[in-house]
Amino acid sequence: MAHAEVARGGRLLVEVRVLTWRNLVKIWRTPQLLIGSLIQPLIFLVLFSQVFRSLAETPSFPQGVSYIDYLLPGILVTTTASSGTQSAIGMANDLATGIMDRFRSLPMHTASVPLARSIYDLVRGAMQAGLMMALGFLLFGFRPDEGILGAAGAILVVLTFGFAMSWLFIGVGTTFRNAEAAQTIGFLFVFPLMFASSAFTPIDGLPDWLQLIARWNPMTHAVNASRALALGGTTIGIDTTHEVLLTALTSALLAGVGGLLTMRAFRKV
Amino acid sequence: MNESEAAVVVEGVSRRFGSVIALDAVDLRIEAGTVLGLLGHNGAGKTTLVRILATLLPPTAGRARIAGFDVVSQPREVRRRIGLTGQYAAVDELLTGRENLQMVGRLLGENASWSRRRADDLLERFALADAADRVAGTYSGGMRRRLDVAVSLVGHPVVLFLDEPTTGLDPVGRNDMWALVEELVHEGTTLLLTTQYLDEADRLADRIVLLARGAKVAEGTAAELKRQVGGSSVRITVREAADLEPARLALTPLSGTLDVDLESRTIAVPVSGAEATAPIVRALDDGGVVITGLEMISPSLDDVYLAHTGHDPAQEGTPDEHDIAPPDGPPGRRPRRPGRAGAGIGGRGPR
Repeated sequence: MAHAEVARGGRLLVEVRVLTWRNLVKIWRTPQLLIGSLIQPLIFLVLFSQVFRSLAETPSFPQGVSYIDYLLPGILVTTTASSGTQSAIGMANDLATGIMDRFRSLPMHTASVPLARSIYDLVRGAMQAGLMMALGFLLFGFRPDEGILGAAGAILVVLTFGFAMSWLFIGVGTTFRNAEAAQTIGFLFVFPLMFASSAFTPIDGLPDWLQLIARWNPMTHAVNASRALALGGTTIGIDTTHEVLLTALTSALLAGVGGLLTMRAFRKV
Repeated sequence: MNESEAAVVVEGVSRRFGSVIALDAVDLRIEAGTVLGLLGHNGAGKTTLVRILATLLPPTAGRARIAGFDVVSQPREVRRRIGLTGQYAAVDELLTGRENLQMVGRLLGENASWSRRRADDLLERFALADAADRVAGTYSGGMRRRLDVAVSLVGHPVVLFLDEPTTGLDPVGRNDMWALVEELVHEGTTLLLTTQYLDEADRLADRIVLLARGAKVAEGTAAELKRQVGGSSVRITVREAADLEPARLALTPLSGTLDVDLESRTIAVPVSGAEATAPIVRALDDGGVVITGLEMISPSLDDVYLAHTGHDPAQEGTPDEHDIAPPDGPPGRRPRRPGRAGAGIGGRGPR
């Protein structure tokens, strides 16, 4: 065996590409992962579009907007955000199974693993959002005022916010190193915040205390931004620029917190 | 890189976890092309040392170098030269064997075609070619462990760490793994092997370091360690107790320190090696003594372990790796255990 040469060591871009592929292969190999992640939003879409249809007639609801048009951006944002918990589980599993030790004993960049994870989430999020929007259009009568461009803008917001949540959860997963704990934490925060937001109903209709939470909930602003881009800010009475900028800012902040948590956890091992 | 330096040099390495001392000022060297067996039960600090040497964990004191590179200040240089096989097989269960190998090739900075060729070579060599395109999650324990070792060899490491490579394997898997390790050694890979199994260290390692409670308690070749607890002896058994005295008289000229045991009707004669058997048989024959049994007894590594750690590894519980304090026994020496044959035989061999 040739012992004279030693391993060269990786380049960041190749590493991220290879590791992203590693995650994507799993979607292909276990399609139930993708199907599973579509079930919840589909149930929400079917149930809420039927159950809450009458919301469109309430005074706090924007005039002349159909509930399905209002609902879909909300479902996209909350779905992508809650998919972030998968990242926490994935990272915790990588740490628990020892494969992270393997990666860390190789001459590669430590950041490649979480970077690849977040890119994978982005790709999966795009597939999810694209599919949901297509289904919404074909089966549920989703017809956003701002057309294709508006829909694309809405998806862009969804993906930006989803990317931030993915990093936040990568931080949670690496910090707690336990898939169950990560999942529980994810569920405890994301699930209530989904409903304490503007995702399904206008927050003006919520009780005061819930309104307060909803106003501070970053999900509210991501939903507002996404919705405003799809339906038109003036139609639903939202300052599009303001909400988009606010979402960009919160996303950067959340991703930053996740990144710091991840770095800290990696340094501690 | 300093050519004259040993492949692995560990100087006073300690590691604390809070108030627990997992490693206490351990020194060791592994010369290039040799195998060091790091022997100890769960919680002795074996894995902690491997993690430090593999740059996964910084030591709280001391220095360690791999091929001349410091594990703390030059981790990347170290990582370019090591292979790590963990206690729990670290392969991706949702990727195929081939994909696992190719992925590591790419992560090591090699191109796709190189990685493909290397994967093929290793799959062939580790008898995994038939299962190459199956997802690793479907592999048996032995196959998974082989894949794990294969993955750690992708980059032609100068030093290979095998952390308990046979733990949890069935006897067949264990034998396969031993054959594999022997082959690697034959090729000149420098190897640090941790194990709880004394026979494994005896069989595979050139030198053995005995670790207990994070500290090095003994070091040497298997033969040296065995000598520390006494040499070999030949034990003869006579038909009845009355035969013991003539036998003792016949053997006295050969050794002054015979160990006579009435109950089992045996006499143990200290010897330097198997070649001393013939004179013993001749002396007994000349003395007209009929024997019913004769066996050569070498102290086992169990005896070494017991002599140094004060408890019997065979009766050791299996506490968690982080459970540093052993469950029983005061530190220090205890009289060594009688042979496995049973408690009735009494002390065998001279001190």
